[in-house]
Amino acid sequence: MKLPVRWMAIVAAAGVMLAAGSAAFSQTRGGTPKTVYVKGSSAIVRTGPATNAPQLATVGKGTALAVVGTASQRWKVRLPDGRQGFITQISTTPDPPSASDRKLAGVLRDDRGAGEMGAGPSMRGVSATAEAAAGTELIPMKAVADAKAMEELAKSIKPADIDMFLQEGKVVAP
Amino acid sequence: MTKTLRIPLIFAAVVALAACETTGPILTTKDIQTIGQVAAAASGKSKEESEQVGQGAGNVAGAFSPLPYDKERDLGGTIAIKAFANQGPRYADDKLQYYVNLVGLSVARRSARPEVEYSFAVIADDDINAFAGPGGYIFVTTAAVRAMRNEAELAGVLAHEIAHVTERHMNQMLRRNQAINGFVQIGNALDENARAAGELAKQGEDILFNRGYDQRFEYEADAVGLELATSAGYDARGLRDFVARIGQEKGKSGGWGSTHPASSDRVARMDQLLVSQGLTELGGAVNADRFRAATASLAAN
Repeated sequence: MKLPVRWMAIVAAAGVMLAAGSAAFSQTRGGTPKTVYVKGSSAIVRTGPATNAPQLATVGKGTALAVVGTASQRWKVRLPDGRQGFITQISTTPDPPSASDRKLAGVLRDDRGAGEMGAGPSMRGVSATAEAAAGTELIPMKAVADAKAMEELAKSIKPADIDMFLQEGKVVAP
Repeated sequence: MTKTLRIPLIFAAVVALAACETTGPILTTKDIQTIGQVAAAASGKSKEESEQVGQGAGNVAGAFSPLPYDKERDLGGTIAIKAFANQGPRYADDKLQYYVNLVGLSVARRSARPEVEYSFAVIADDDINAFAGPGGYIFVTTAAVRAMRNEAELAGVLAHEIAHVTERHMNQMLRRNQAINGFVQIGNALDENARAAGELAKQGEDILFNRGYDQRFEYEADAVGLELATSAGYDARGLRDFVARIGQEKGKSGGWGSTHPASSDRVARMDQLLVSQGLTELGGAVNADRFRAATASLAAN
């Protein structure tokens, strides 16, 4: 009675190995996947395929990256903001993330130097704190951009614009 | 002097000196730090312990000083970023954002702090809410704007939030925490028993700040907000009508309902103010049509 059990175990193990091999193969068999998703809580995208290539951005878990090529165990990918860079294949999965895993999705931090970003003199308040916040926490770049846009819009409104707005709406101080 | 007597005495001295800070620059924070240090040394504490007491006393005193405007802006900027990260992104309708800023700035220019660089944003969030960060960063959710009926209601809600900034409510909340930290620091130095230090901090909190203090701020913001929106030329009943409506729609008031006092209390207080101040007699703009046109993208979604 021991022999069939042993054989069953061997067959089952072989089945598992075949299935695993098939799954691993399926990722590459059909060619390069069109889109990959970041697996860990965050991953680094570099400007080149080399390990020491400058960092381009830090992306969060579940971020969808369009694959545009491969090089040295890395995917050449397009970031959500359109820039292209390289990410290690083991940092990604072809499986889309669950809704809960998408919370951190997106470019968490722009890792390029200020000069490359074309940043002008620091905007008062928001810019300085954004730097600090982004440096200590995984704050999506979109949130920093939203805060800057909020501040810039208000600054762009001149007293004459407000006067005209009040006049058009017949809003008259008592 | 026994230890049980020394601790309340040093506390009493610090509280008294700190309180002086609110009335005028009698002593600087540094002075109070030094006095605390000397008092602790005189009561037989080691140099290290005395320094810690001095630092704690300085923190308590510093807690009563107003936050400088640049610090207020830095803090507000950080809160703004976190609001967009955690509450919701900026709603993608430039025309609506511009309109909300025009209404907000129209009201803010009449406020007690017109020099503040106010900015307003509509954030995409299904919870009815509006909140103000220090330094003039003011937010209103898409759900709140959807629940409004006219420009006077929007002006009223924004005026309420502007009032939190003009009355430096956030500042006062932060001061409370800073004061508690100061007390904990003193408590830790005077007695190594962390539980005793924590208890002292709680007592300090009970003495200096009564419970329900946030509600007082909310009522104050309602009162200041009513007057502010009216002085800008809007119908005084805007805020009152909005609060009454979301109060009736039970369960839909979201964050605004959980962080603000009961709507019925607020409406009753505002009704009283509207009559006693004669605000309803002033008329004022309502602008339902302009509001509808500006918020059309919300109605469509």
